[in-house]
Amino acid sequence: MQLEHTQSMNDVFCRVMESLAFYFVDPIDPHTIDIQRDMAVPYRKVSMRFEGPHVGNVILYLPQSAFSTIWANMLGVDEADPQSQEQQNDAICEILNVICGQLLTEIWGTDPVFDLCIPDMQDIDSANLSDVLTHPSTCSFNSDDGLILLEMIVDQTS
Amino acid sequence: MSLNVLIVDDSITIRSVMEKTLHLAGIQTNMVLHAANGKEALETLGKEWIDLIFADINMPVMNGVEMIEKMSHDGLLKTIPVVVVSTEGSQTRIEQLKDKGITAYIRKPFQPEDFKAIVEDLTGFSNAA
Repeated sequence: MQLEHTQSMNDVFCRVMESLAFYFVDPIDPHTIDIQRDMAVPYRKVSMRFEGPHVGNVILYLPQSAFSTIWANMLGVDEADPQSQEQQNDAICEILNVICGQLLTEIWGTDPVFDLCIPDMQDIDSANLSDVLTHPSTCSFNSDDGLILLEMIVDQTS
Repeated sequence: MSLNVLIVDDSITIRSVMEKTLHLAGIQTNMVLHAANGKEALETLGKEWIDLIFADINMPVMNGVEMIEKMSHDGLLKTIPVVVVSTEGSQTRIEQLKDKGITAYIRKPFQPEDFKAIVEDLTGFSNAA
């Protein structure tokens, strides 16, 4: 599937990050990325399942340092302000929620009805991301906090 | 005219962003209250007079549709305008929500102008400061 959706993923991700979090990202060729050199920091994986005429997952892989930046940008506060991991996680889940909603209509239009599930979040060893990085369903982005990956997996279509 | 506004969303971040956006839009508020789901919103509505509700749809405990249905059975609550603020992009579902009585719809991500236009439309005049 996935190559045909790459442009939509790039467009939606850049647009949502800029408008909701004042966070600027640039698409980058994954073949120029060296995981050991460019992703040698703690990462978190945040995924959201969508169900409808098409079923699948939209997944974000972010450096942990991006969490506090995005949270602060969304609220217009200083990164040094008191904050909890829970608040940061909430901000990222909301970002993924908006990305997923926008992506589904960007790809399949406004007729189909989709249900979005509660996001799932976990720590991840970036050394294990080489398969994700080079998979055609993944888009890669440069940010001030490091590389961010956006993956969309479609399991089935009814 | 200062409004009493209730923001209903399970994300504390987005509730704060929405409140900030209302102020950026120049909308004069007397009171902005928050609720994390439809159940909390109904409890607030039982205690405070609210002029306008901005509510998400997908929420735990009680979602936005259930909240709107319960409000529709109350003679007083059904007169309060409910603006749905959601990631929902399906025109089919938005039409279903309109059939259930929502006043307007704003899609995330939103801009201050989206809120300003709807408040001006609902109040019949510019509410901007």
